[in-house]
Amino acid sequence: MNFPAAQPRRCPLFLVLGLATAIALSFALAFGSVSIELLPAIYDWWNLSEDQWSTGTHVLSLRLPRATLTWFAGGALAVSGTVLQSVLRNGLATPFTLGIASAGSFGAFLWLAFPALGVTWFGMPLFTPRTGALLFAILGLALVLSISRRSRHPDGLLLAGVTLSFLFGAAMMLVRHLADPFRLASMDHWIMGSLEVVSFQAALAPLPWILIGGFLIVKNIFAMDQLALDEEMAEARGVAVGAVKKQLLLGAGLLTAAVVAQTGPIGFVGLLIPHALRPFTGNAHRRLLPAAWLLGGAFLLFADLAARTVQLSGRHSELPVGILTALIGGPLFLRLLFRKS
Amino acid sequence: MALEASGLTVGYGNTPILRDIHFRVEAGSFSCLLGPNGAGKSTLLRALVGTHPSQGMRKLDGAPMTELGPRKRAQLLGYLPQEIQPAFSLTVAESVELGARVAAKPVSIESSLRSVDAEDLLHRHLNELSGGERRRVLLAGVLAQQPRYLLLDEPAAMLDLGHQAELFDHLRKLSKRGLGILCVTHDVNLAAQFADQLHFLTPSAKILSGTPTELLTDAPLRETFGHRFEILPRENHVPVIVPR
Repeated sequence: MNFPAAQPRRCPLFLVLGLATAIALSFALAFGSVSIELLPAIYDWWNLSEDQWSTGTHVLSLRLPRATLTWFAGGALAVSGTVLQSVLRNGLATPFTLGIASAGSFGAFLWLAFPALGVTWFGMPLFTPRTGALLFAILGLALVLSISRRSRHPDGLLLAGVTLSFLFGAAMMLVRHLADPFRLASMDHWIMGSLEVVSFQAALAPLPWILIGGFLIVKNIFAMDQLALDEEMAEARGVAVGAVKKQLLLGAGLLTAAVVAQTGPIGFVGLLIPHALRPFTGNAHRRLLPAAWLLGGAFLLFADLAARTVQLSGRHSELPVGILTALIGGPLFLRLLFRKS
Repeated sequence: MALEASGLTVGYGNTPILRDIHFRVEAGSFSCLLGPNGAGKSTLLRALVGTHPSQGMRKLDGAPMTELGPRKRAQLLGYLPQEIQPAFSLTVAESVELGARVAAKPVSIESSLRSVDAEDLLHRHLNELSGGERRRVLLAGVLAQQPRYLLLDEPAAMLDLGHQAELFDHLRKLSKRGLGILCVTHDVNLAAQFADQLHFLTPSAKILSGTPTELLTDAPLRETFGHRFEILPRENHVPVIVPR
């Protein structure tokens, strides 16, 4: 006897995700160390000149860039994780599996530990920890792609990524070992992930890379479905498997590099979100990827809100969001695993 | 109208395993490719599809395959490999839809499944199915491409006897509707019963082609399988062979 499986529930899903995003965004703007009334603050922010602003408007002008970066970071990490799980055909792949995050963190560590490396031009810093992170994240991505050219086997790439992670991890520890002790706090802060930005310029810095990466992913969105069934069948169905995989790796890698350079490594978003969504969206990436962006963005907005508002043992500094996503994401992922098995 | 290969050389690295192969699958014919393990049957099939590098000429209905775009090629040529490992738990509907996407004309998932007697599996997941059900569903996905030629690598593997007979009968009916089908199998009797044409790939990489009655004789069987078989004649039917 054949028992029909449940049909994926698709139509209301995007409504629910859109609503979740709107609620997460409103909460992220309204709540924190100071709570504000959101609608009047938005009205004033839009209509009044800066010297007429209320406290609420000032708070809003600080929170809006942060919420923007958080939404971009959550969405990009979730999409990157989804793409990498499909391309590497491995449900345990994450945006950090390929070693890009470790490479980026190494770049940031290098500049944090040895600020003399920072080149200035007419007094403007050309290299900051963030540009260092981006530079090395892209270098890590180039390394991974050159390895992918030699290895057609998906596990080969996965293992190479894990090895790169270890190598850059060791290099980070070496830099930390050599750094002046008073610089260690800023390095520790980086590695725990942070969404602190105060300007739209910083919040929108990842956008060009996200757009390029997103374009490469969207271009291959249908080919990705064929890859998820079987690579040989995909090739027989007209997919240029090698080229498509490279473009997708580059796309997912750029999303990860862009986010890591701005926020440091924030774990579990890219692992958890695709697994949570597949039962509802099915495996077609034209539904899965937009849903992953929305849920990833909303999840990180809520996690960041919690990180800003939860106070542990009387400490007034906010909790690093990377710790919180791991603390929330870990048990949720385990629950999903047990439910699946 | 045929799928043709001439002077095809296929190998792994710098070692050729098949040299100067000449091969033809007529539209509207059902042929089976048989041979001992490791002879290169699956590799030959992959080379014909283009998923394994080869040298030589491959043509589809007279047009060199290298001149056809990848999508056009997929609309003419459907291929079912021996093993498929989906990365995630795809539903039956999702896997058949992937084939339908390639088709030149819209095709319903239900009708593709009906053609392999699997419409009741529509909402199941591939990883819940038995080996036989899975093979039928994957074949439905290839049929959804609406190809003119079908290359199938052991489609009857893991099917019970009833479903093997049904599948081969179905393939024969499809060939009568104009499809050219080439199917790798190990079951000589099943192939002889249903196919119009047999091709034996010998250990020396030679292809012996003929009708079942022509090939089910002592010399081609011995040359291909290195074994003697008893050939049991049947009136008005192809003979049946049993190991001696």
